[in-house]
Amino acid sequence: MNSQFKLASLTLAAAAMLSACGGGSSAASDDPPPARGAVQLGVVASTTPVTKAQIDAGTAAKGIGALAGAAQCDVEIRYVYYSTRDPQGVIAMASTAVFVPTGTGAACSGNRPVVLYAHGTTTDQTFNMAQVDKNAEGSLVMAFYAAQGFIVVAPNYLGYDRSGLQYTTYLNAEQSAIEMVDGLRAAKTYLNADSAVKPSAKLLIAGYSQGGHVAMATQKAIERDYASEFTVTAAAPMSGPYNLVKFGDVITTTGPINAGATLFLPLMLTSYQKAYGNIYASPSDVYQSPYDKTAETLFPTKSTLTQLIQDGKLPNDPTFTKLFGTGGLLTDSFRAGYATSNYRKALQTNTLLGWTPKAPVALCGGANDPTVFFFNTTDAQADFASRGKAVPASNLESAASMQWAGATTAATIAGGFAQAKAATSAAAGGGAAGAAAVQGAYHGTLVPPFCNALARGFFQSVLAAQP
Amino acid sequence: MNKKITLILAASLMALAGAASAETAVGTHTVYLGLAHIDVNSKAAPLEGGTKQFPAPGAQIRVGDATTTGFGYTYRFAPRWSGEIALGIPPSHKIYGNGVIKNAGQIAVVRQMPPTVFINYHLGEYFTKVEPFVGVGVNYTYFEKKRSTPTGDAISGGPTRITLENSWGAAAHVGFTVHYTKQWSLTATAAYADVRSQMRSYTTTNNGTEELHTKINFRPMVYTMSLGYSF
Repeated sequence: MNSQFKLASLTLAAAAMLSACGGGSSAASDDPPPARGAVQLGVVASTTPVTKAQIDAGTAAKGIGALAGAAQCDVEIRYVYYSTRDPQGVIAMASTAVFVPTGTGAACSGNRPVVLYAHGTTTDQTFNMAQVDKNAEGSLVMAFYAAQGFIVVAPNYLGYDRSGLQYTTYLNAEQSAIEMVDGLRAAKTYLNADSAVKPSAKLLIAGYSQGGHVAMATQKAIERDYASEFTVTAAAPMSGPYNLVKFGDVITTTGPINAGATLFLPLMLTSYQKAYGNIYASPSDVYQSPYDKTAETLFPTKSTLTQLIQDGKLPNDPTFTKLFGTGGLLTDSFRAGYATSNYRKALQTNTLLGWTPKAPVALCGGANDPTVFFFNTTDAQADFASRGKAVPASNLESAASMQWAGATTAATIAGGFAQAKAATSAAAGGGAAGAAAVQGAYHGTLVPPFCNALARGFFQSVLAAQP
Repeated sequence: MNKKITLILAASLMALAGAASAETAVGTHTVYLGLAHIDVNSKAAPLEGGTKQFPAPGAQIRVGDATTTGFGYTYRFAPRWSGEIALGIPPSHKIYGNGVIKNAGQIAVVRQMPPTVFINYHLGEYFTKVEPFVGVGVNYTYFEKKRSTPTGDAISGGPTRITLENSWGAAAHVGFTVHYTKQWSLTATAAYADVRSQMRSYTTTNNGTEELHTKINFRPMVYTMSLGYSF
């Protein structure tokens, strides 16, 4: 063969090889997405830390200054945007608030224990725990934990804030744990690189309402799957729906229907439909008209609930309990088929009984909670006890249930809670109106500061016992 | 990649070793086939538009390099002048996040077809076998495929469609041809083309469509090495 043909074949071969591996436009040639928990962006959100005086003024204005205690530290507010995964395993972005204690106090420097906090249910798409000026839950945990020397990592679930997911992964236990773990990873990576105050290896998990469920799911997942990466020091799930399947049975069959059910059901149905794909073939299988047109993509939303009711997208019922019957949210056939439905199976899948926590746990709630019934808390306690794990379950209505925290604390918390209820009732004029006001404020306003005060005391006692 | 360039260089040295003086006669047609490496030095302003703000302003993009098979045709219409049409297998460029979204990595991919015509002036033979040339021309860049990756969708806030305006611009190159025989030659070039495009992304969210846009100046340097056959 002539040398020019050798030359030609060499060039051709090289060209062919290169175009073969030179990168196509198909998905197969995409770079792998960022890892779970990779920091996309970390910023200091507050130009100056929130001062102790500001925090004390905030808790005093809400009448919870004594429960929160005087702030020990200023708090620097940070915000981390990170990559995680959606229920299909596809990359998704989420954000987390990070509250860092700062200042000269002994509790405000060096390596601080981390509270991984799971937030409660919200329909507000713009919800961001880092916006402490307008996010009540964010400001509460800043005051209760960060101002007392804990670093707080409070992820915003997928679907909120700047997350790209078009729905939220509501009460999906395993998925919620993934988001929490990835938020924790990202926050720790970011603080270790960028903050003078660093996270210690102590990990405390707390959460309220939906967040109580998420906190418990996160402890379960970390102790099972991430033991080489994190060790849970203690956990304090509060007012969470741990026994989801029983909760669903009560709401759907015997009643009573919990306050907020017409918000919780669309959140849950969409979450499970997206995760499992078998809850319904068409939204009209479960939703009455006209809600079947919009309910699937209703939440999270930028609209107010008042606006959604005006627009006819939610039943006109200020207690949000009109689930069934004429003008209700859900169809009779959904209710009739509930016992054998895939929806009930999904509730079973996400029920947090039948596992045994390794780290110490303290549960808390209020026995008259109209939103998340208290049996969730006592059922979890009994379930753990059945396998030899003793866990206190504080009931704010009963000083006896809080004796584990010491007689003085138990009396103070129980008395304070009774006083807070009385004040709420009196402010509404007492009587039936007062009772309704207490019901309305019970889950969202009255219980959280008292349970968080107990949770913080519990965390401090566990930390003191294992320095 | 480096291995393959080494291979080509070795081939070109072989060509030099055996090269003989060969004038290119007027009326000669040459077809060529080889490699083109597109070294993109993109500049793009931060993405603008939409109602969602990123955690901080300054979400930017960067266009990655690509290597492809280049081919084309040259016609010698005067002793020192030739016309050329340069083509190639459409290369795919990865688009990466930059600025505040730098850590996202690849967020999109675009495949483009950049046909370019040149008028070349040949400087005559140096060292009896090496003939340098310069050329100016016009480039048309057609953005054929545009796709947001799952990472791009995630960081944009939902399923995202991308558009890029096709671009007309000036191009210039310098190069040299090694005449091996009357038929066979090896040509190396370095080219620059003026490629600018308005990129828009449309993200479908529950709140409607979010549109973001930026103007990209690709500023590509294209390096080629090709084997030519003349007749």
